[in-house]
Order: sequence, then structure tokens, then C-alpha cells
Amino acid sequence: MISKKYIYTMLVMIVVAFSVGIGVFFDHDISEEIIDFVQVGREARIYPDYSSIVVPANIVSMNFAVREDGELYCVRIRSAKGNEIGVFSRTGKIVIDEAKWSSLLEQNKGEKLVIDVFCKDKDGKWLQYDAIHNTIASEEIDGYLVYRKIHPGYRTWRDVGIYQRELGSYTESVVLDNSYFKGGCLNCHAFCNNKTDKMLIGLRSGKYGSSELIVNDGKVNKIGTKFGYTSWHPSGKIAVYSLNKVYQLFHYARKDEYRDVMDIDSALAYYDVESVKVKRCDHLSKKDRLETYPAWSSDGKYLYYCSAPIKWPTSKMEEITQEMVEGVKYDLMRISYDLEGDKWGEPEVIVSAEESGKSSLEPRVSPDGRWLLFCMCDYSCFPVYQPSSDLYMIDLGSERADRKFVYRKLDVNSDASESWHSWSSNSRWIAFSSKRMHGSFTRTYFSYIDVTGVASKPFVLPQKDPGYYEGCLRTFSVPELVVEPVRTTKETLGKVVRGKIDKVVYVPISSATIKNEQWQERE
Amino acid sequence: MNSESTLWRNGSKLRGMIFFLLFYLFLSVYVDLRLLYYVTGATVGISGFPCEWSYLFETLSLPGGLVRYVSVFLTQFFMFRWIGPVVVVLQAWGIALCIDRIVEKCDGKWFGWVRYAPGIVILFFYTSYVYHFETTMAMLVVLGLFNLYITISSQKWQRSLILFVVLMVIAYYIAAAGSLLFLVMCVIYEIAVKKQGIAGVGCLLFGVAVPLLIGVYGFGVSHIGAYSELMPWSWRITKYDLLNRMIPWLYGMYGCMPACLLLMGFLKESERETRSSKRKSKSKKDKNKSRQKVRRTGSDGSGGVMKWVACTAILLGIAGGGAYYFVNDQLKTLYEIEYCRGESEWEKVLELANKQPGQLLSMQARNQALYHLGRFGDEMFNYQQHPDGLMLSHDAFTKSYWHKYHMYIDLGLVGQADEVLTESMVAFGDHPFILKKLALVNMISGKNQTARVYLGALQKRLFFGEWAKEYLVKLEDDPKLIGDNEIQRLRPLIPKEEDWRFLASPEMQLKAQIENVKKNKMAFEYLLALYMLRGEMWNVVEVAGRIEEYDYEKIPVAFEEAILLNNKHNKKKIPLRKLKIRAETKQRFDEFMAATIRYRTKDAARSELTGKFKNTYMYYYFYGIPE
Repeated sequence: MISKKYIYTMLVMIVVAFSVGIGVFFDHDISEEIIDFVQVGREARIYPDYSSIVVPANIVSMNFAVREDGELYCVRIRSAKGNEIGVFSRTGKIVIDEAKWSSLLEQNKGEKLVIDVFCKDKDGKWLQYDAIHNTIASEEIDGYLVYRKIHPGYRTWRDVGIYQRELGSYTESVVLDNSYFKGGCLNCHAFCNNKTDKMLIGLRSGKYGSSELIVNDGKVNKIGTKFGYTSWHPSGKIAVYSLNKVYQLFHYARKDEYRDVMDIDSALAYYDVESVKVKRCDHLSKKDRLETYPAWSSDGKYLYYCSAPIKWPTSKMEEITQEMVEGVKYDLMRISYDLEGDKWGEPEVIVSAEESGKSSLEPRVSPDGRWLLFCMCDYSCFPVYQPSSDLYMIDLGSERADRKFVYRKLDVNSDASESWHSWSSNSRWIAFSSKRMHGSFTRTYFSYIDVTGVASKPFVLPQKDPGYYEGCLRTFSVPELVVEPVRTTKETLGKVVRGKIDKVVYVPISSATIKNEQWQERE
Repeated sequence: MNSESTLWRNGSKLRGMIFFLLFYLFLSVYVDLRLLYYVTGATVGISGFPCEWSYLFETLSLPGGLVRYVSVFLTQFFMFRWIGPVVVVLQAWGIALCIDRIVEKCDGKWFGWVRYAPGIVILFFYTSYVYHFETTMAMLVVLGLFNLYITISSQKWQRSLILFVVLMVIAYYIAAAGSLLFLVMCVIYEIAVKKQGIAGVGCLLFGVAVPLLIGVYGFGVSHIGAYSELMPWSWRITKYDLLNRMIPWLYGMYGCMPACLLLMGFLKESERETRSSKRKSKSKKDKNKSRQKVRRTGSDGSGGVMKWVACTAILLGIAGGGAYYFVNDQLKTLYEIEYCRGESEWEKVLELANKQPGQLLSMQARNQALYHLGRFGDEMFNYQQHPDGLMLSHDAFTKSYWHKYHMYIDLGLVGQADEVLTESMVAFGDHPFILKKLALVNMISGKNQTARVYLGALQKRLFFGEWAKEYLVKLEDDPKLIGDNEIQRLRPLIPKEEDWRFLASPEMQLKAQIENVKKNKMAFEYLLALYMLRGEMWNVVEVAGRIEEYDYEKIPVAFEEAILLNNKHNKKKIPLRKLKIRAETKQRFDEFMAATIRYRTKDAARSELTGKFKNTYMYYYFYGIPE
């Protein structure tokens, strides 16, 4: 008869042996000294493309996969100072030690970052590819990125969430997702001055209604109206938002993107945080025009926005023709504002649609007030569904005598749509959504903007698994760079969503233009 | 006494075997779990199983993750007709075993029958094509842990409480809020069965706090999630009508064991009272005992068999009767149609669609099957028709994503196919079949970058990885997929790249597919049929006039009839140069028209025409067009 004690001892020994086996298997040193190698004469193909880019010193290690045939891969990462980082891999997946990476980048701000790629072929011969030369920027990027992650649906949603990613690590956490209010939909989020103490989140819920969450110095309130695209005044005292009556369209025969969106009607209004009132300005809610995408200048003296004439009877959607839709091109406008007196000036055209032949959308002014970044696409108001959408920039410091500005296309663009851009607090980095990598799926890219406004080659938000994006069925939209994490917990936000509306506001939009409840959803 | 209980136990085992065997056969032969797996849109929550560590770690990073992980893995076997039911039956059997043990431990011999209750409810779920596998898996885990609890809990309430806390934490981690069932059962067990009031109250207090402490503060899940995930009241279940329709039964299933424990406790109490009163009249009891013994001895033989047969019959009667009640042949037929359509078994689709001729979903599938069999134009009026039954254009079918996909692909409308599949993925989950079709659609339209994402996701899914890898290699080696015959066959059907039109209606979509010298035969037939079904002869003229552009050797009968009808009544005639109307069609048409003349009104002619001309377009035109 075998004793119980004996059985237990055997079991423990098996578990220990198994654990040791696993440990040995994973810890097996595959590195070797590379003495002889043959030069290939070109750069290795790597995924994601992290070559010839400018990287911030405070970004997490940018893991990648070498897409060359081989039995063993070796990557050496080096710069002017500090220890070289060596990584060996059998699969081509290069996972870089986070601490070593941080240390190397921290020591070499403003220097080159060189990546040597070696690959051992099936004959055991090492091949060396041309070194990849990147640059470590002197200026850091904001520490956090807040974005919405959603499936690329159009009419339906299931799991929607606003997430924040610490850029110095791979940590992603939920700011708020729809599990906190039984499956509703979350919309845009907006921050004031790249900080999270003031934040707005729009949401729709069958159970808890449509509302806006306002976070003001840590206090969360639920406003009984829903904002569209929102921009905080730098003072944090008011927030301008859009009201959009949305119409969805399908170009079934189009190859690039069959989905399309237009505003049947839209207007801008502004929310006064202190008085809990929504106000309007006649210039921003004209009967015969569509106003949308508000963005404050960094000094708060101007509101930039987009405006286009309405070419259809807003009550009869069936009369809208294809030509009408494709004829809608937005001007980029601005209007002065005096916060003290709550007075608006006269609107002025910054980029005329008639002159550019394009629709100018989503203006964002850099925090230093120098640059105005915006999208231009062939028509309409929703760049993420427009493959023609590219990023353009205006130097606000170079206003011409005729009060016009010169705009130029940035070098960050691709054949696919670029949109949803934001600035870092130091005005040196931009984050934006692009469809260049995966067609229907938007991914977040970063680019360094130097003092002259020249943009570097963009790179995708790094992930721990280099192959992460290849099977990622979610889109990353509205990436907003912030200097600090959102500190209001998701539980607090969720509780407020589930609670009663504690700030009832009156929306003084005239019957001539869009009503508040007509706001609709879109990506 | 021993031989009697052994006999009873064996009988019970035999009954269990019969029950679960029939359960298995019913699921395999009648229900066919493949339908649940294949017919995306019929079920919510069935997704593919990613074979990667990150998925394991991600799922295990949340309470209930283990149940989810195992459930998703096991659900993949629903793909196989004879294996899927094994999974379900094993789950039901596991629950039954747990209940057996609980009943035995609590001396509730009269409650042995409860072991079948969850199994029967599970049977009802699958008979109704409702997927609650995760929730029932959570119940299995909880019952298992409760078994452990009653096995090792002690008479000392302090020790019981410690054990409870440990097991509750484990239960919560494994089964999320499903562990609340564990809590309720432990509380009832302590209070009603063991009469340990303090332990019961302690369990209640600690148990209620566990989801908050572990779930909300530990794992960072929402309050709602902490107290509802994997429970019948979870919003993930109540949100969907598909899952909601069996909710009362899910509650019943979860509630049956706590209710039984409560009853067992009461019965035990009353037994105790009876015993104490019996002690007082011991002599009487002895006499009764001897009488009972005599009765039992008498029931050991044929009486025992009869009782076994009766109990078994009642059990099977309840299960069978319930299943009969929940059987939904119409739904099943629709699922079978979708399954066969996915497998391109067009004859079978036709056969199944005939079971429900007036159903628009079936009608749409049947028309597609007729087209594939080359009989659409000849036989379409052999069956009931409706303009909405061609392309499911009615608003009621806005969310019939899955049903439309195949038709859109056949018509070359890949934009629409992409749209319905994407919406389907968002609404019903990352189902491998959806991902597969999305990859194909994007490859057909040349959107290789998007296709790669779907293939990338699919290559990690159990049973689908090889297919995806093959295509990823193909995309690398042959980006235009010239070597892929199916994709090359479908590509000429798709619209021109530069066509930006919105094509809002089915009519516009079909028109776009045949204009500018395009020869999409299916679009042509569907457009002509659409106008015929709407009775719009002025449009029939325009489309039918192009019939000779297509490779017809003879004009399909229904189209001949439409041409004749138009040419007889309208000024604008449909000219035919090469093709001719067949004599028999002409004769039938003349007969029909003569009959209509004989009667003064349409209604008066109806009975005669119904008998002879029911399967003609003329008859449909006069009597079948919906108002």
C-alpha cells in the first residue's frame, strides 16, 4: 500500500520538476557572438516601421518584429552614451528591456539612436543589414494618451471605452467604458490645457439617457445635455461645443471607404461652467450655415471653427442629392472672444474652401500659439471616412498683409485618412489617427514637430507585442495627449452616469437651427 | 437494507444514463449545435478561441475569466455535430453529480430528483437555440465549490467561516458574480441545515463584501459588473432579446438549489421534531416499523421496477414535454437554411425554404438558391413571392446582417457585404466565421491591409489558424491574388473603383451592377424580378429590353410572361431580336387572358385562374402584388 505521504512527495517533486523545466525552457540563452557577417546593403524590413523617426526620450521601448527570413535574429541598439542593448530572438520578435531602453534614451536626448539588425540564415551565416538611424528628441512627449477604442462599426456598438495609456510603459487603463452604465455608447472626450483636472465626456445610454460628464477639479457632474465636438477655453471657464444633426451615407461602390457621414445641420454653443448655462452666439449658429469643430487659440482670444453653407432644406433629407453632399466644403474660420465681457467679434475666414477647393476640418492650435494644425479633405465634415484627408499646418505667426494665412501640407500624410490630431503641451509632438497601416482600422501615430514646423516621419503607438496591431479589431480614435493621468476613477464616473442629472441646462438654440436632442453618434 | 439501497442506487444510475444518453442524442440529431455556432446573429456571445498566452492572461486578469476562458474553448466544439453535444451533456452531468453529492450530504433523499432539473433547463436552452453556456458553467463551478464546502466544513462556526471566506474568494475569482449562488447556498446551509445561525450571518456579511473588495477594489471592475457578471441579471444577458427569452428559466435553474436546501433544512427540522415525539411512544413505533419493513420487502421486487419505470417515465416525460414545448421548427429551419447556404447546398436550401413559403427570410434564401441552380427565372413563381423577399429591403430586416451577406457577395456588392459583416461583428462578437468572411470580402475588393487584420486575428483562433495563415502567405507572395480562383471569379462582379455614388436603395445597387456594359447576370435577373414583383411594368420594359445582352439560350419562363404581359398592355414594347417566346408560354398567356375576359371582375376570375395559373407571373401580377 503506497502511503499518502509518498504520493504527496511525488506530486510536489513533479510540480517542482515541471516548473524548473519551464523556467529552463524560457530562460535558455540563445545569444551568441557575431564575428563574421555579410553586409546585405539595405535596411531590414521591420514591423512596425520604426526607422528614420524621431522618438521622445520618455517613450516605452519600441518593440518590433524583423520581417526577414532567418533562423536567429540579433538587434543591437546604441547611441552616443550608455550601454548598448542587445536582443536575440528566434522568431524575429524583438522585445527590448524597458529599463535599459529608458536609460539609453534618457542619456542621449538630442542624439542619434542606431539599430543594427543581424539575421542568421539557414546556412548558419550571419547577415548584417544597414543600420536604422533614428533620433532621440530633446523634448519629451506628454506622459499619457487618452483615446477611444471601439470596433469599426457604423450603426452598432457593443464594447466601447475611453482608455488612457501611459506612454512610458505599456500600461493601458480604462477611463470609462460602457460596462459602467449597462452598455451605452461613449463619445468624444476633451481636456483643458493638456491636463485632466478638467474633462468632458459625452455619452448615450438607453437606460441612463444622453448626457455630458464634466470633471472640474476632481468633481464630477452630469449635465443634462450632450455635447458634440468640444473645446475648453484655456481659462477653463467655458467650453464651446457643437450640435450636429448627422446623416449616414454609404458609397457602396467605393473601394477605399464605403462609409460616409455628413451634418444635415450643425451649430456651436458654449457652456459656462460657473453659471451652468449654455449660451449661444449668432455668428456660430447661423441658419444657413453648418458650424462645427471648435478649437480655442492658446491665449483664448480666438475660437477657430469650421463652417460651410447649407445647400439643402434641413427638414427634407430625401431631397439631398449626391452632388449636394459632395459640394459641401468647410471654410476654416475664427472669431475673436473677450472672456471678461463675454463678447464675440466678427468671424473671419482663415482658409477659404472656395480657394482651396477642399474642406478644412478639425483645427487644433498648438499650446505655444504658433501652429494651427487641421485636416483637409475633398468634401464634407468627417475626415476619418475620407481617404483624401491629410494634415495641414498654418504658421499663425506669419499672417499676411491681407490677413490671410499660408497653409502647407505636412510630410506625415499617407494615401489613407489622417485625422483626430492633438498637440502635446510643449507643442513639439502631435498624435493623430491614421488608416495607413490597416485600412478600416485607425491607429494612433506620433510625429515630432521641430521649431520650424517641420514634421518628422510618424510612428505608431508602441505595443509590447510587436504583432499587436496585426490582429487588433478595434480602432483607436480621438487620441489626446495629456501631461497627467485621468485621476477620477472609472467607478466615480460610472456612478455619476448612473445617477441623476445634477446640472440641468437650458439650451437657447433657436428653432431655426438644430435642436439639442438631434445630436447623433459617429466614430 | 443494503441490497435495497444498492438496487435503488443502480436504478438511479441507469436512469441517469438513459436521461443523458437521450439528452445527447436529442442535441446531436434534432437540435444540431452546429447551427448555433454557424448562424452568427442567432447567438450572442459565441466568439472564437484565440490560442495565445495574452488572451489567457487577459481573461484571467478579471473575475470570471476562468469560466469564460474554459467556456469559449469548449464552445468551439459546437462546430462539430457529434462533439458539441458531448460538451453540453458533460456540463449537465457535472451539475447533476454535484447536486447528488449535496443532496446526499444534506440527507435530503427526497430531493434526488433535483439533479435532473438543471439538465432539463439546459436542454430547453438549446432546444430554443439560446446560448447560456458561460452562465451554466459558472453554476457548475459554484456547485463544485459548495460540495467542497459542505464536505470539509466543521461544526465549529469559526472554522466554517474561514473556509467559506477562502472558497468564496476562489468562487468569485473563477465565476465572478456567479459566486453569489455559492454565498446564498452557504448561508442557507448554515442556517437551515446545520442550524449554525452565526456562521450563516457571517457568511452573508463576508460573502456580500467579496465582490466589492475583490472585484471593485481588487480587480477594478465596475459595481454593476462585480455583482452581475455571469448571473442571469447581467446586462450582457438582459440587453439582448436573443438571450432574454429564456431568462425566467435561467433564474429557475439558479434558484432551484437554494430552494431545495431551504426545503431540506425545514424537512430535517420537522424530522427531528417527529423523532422526539416518536421517542415518547416507542412501543407504537416498533409496531409501525415492523409494518413498514413488511411493506418495503414487498416493494423490493416488481413494485421497485414499476416505481423505477414510473419515475423514469415521468422524468423523460417532463424533459421531452418541455423540449416539445420549446421546439421552434420555424427558427430551426431558418438556421438550417443559413447553415446550408453557407455550405452552398442549394437544393437543401430550396427544400428547407419550402417548409415556410411565406417567410421573407426563407423567400430570400430560396430565390438565391434558385439562381444558383439556374432556375430562378423559370421557377420563381412556383413559390410565393414578395418584393421584400428578394433583397430583404424592408426596414424590419435592417439588422438581418448575416442573411444578406451571401446575396451581396453573389451580386458583387462587396461594399454592402463588408458593411453587414462589420455590423455583425460589432453586434455579435468576433466570431471566426465573420472574421473569415470579412477577410474574404476585403481581399475581393483589394483592401489587403484591412484583410490582413482580420486574417491576423483569425490565425490565432482555434481551428481557423491554418486557413488564415495560408491567405497571409498568399497575400505576401501574390498580393493581387491572381492564383485564387474564387476571388478572381468574384472580382469582375464588383463595382468600379471610382464609383462614389451612395446607391441608397436595392434598386440603385442592382442598376449600378448592370450599367456601363457590365454583365452581372444575377443583378440583371434580380433587378428585372424586383420590378416584376413590384408590378412596375414601365421599369420592366427598360430592363427586360436588355435580356439579349446576356447569354440566355432561351428566355426564362417568368420573364417571357412579363414580356408578353407588357407587350399586350403597354405602348412601349420589349423588342426581341435573337430570342423567341416559346409557343407554350404564349398559349398559356393567351389562355390566362381569355379567362380574365370571361369574367367581369378580377375576383370573379380568381378561383379558375388559381387552379391553372397559380405559378405564372400573370397570376402574381393580378393577384399577388402586395398593396
